[in-house]
Amino acid sequence: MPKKILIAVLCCAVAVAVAAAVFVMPQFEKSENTDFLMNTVVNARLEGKGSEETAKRIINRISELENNCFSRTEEDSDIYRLNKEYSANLSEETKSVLLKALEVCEKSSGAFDITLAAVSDLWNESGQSKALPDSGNLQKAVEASGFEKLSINGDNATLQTGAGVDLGSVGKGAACDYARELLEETEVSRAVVSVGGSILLYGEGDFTVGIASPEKGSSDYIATLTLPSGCVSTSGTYERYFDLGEKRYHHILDSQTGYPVDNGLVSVTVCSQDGLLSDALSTACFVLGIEEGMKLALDYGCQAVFVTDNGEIHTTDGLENLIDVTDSGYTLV
Amino acid sequence: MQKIKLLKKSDIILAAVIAVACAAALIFMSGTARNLTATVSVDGEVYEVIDLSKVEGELVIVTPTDPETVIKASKNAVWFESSQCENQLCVNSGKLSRNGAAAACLPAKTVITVEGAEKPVDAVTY
Repeated sequence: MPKKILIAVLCCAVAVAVAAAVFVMPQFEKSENTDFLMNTVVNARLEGKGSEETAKRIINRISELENNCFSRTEEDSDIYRLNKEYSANLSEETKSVLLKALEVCEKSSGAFDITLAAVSDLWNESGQSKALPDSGNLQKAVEASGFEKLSINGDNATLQTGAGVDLGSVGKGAACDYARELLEETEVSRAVVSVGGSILLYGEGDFTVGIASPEKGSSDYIATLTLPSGCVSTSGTYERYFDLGEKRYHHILDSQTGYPVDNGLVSVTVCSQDGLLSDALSTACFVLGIEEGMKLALDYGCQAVFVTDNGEIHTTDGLENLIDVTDSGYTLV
Repeated sequence: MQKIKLLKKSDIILAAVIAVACAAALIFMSGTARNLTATVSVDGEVYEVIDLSKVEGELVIVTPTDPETVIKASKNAVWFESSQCENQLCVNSGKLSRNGAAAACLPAKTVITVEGAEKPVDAVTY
């Protein structure tokens, strides 16, 4: 009799273990994939059923978007062909991104501009040669640029000669949107997908996102945001730059002058449900400065954090209770 | 009356071992680590995992990348000491000593991430 009880108990234990393995363990499934795409680090951290396969699909999708749509250097991409031939048939993805980006260009009165490829090229060359670009060449590049020189009719885009499209300020955020599209088709319960500084937060509950320190020699964060699902992007002077003498020349350019924006800001972080918008607005708000930038973010129903070079942190009202300043060198104003 | 002994001493020991193993598995699955751990990844693959609490003196890692990077670790800190890359942004990232900190050398496709016991941030936007 006791043996029978023991056997029964063991059978139950085995049944419970098998049931747990079949029904419960997939919920604990976790996966993390990292790759180098869009000239940055892409990291997909997923939890829930099908995590491993979905993480791979996300990385593949972002690679596909880069190679076929957004890249300026891949010969098969829409943007490469558009910049080379000044006219190109667009994929649905590229068309959608260009239309949304152009709307931000218009709403920001050109503070945000996706047609500054020629200007960016001059600064990239400067970064390598460690010498400022020739002011005459810079002026010519500025005159050749301008979002009004890009038009989209149906599936076709045309560009005036000399202008060039650079989706560096929207592509990473757009990639987050396409990652979310994939996640919504799965049973993945929670995910954090980082495409450089653009981050997709997916799933139930809150997420904690650090805002990177702008200090040279620091890989730390200065504050954290507690956020529900959505997207977050940051534009900062410390991301891509070169120093010449005492001055730092960063990659956020004034579309009017062609020079790096110098307005006392070191970074702007934008939170939005839309990845492309968070990415585009982080640049637009940086260029516009605190007052005008806050207005633009709020016009789009987004929230923003502005960090100044004297350690001040300004936020839109919606983030006041969600931000925690963790670095004593910074003060919430 | 004869007493019926349902469980032997060995059964109790076995149950205790299973309980401890389950607890260990749960802790492992929840990703809880007691100390700071640095993970060095090259081209998306884990190249080296360092328990930063156990580093004595300085640990030097030279990545098999082009450009080559030299990564150093000391107790509770890790950093890009040098890199043959042009922009040196990785070296300028400084020391990583906090849970959730990360630095990357894009030309070398090398990433260092630090994770630890306190609740890490889910991500850092930069």
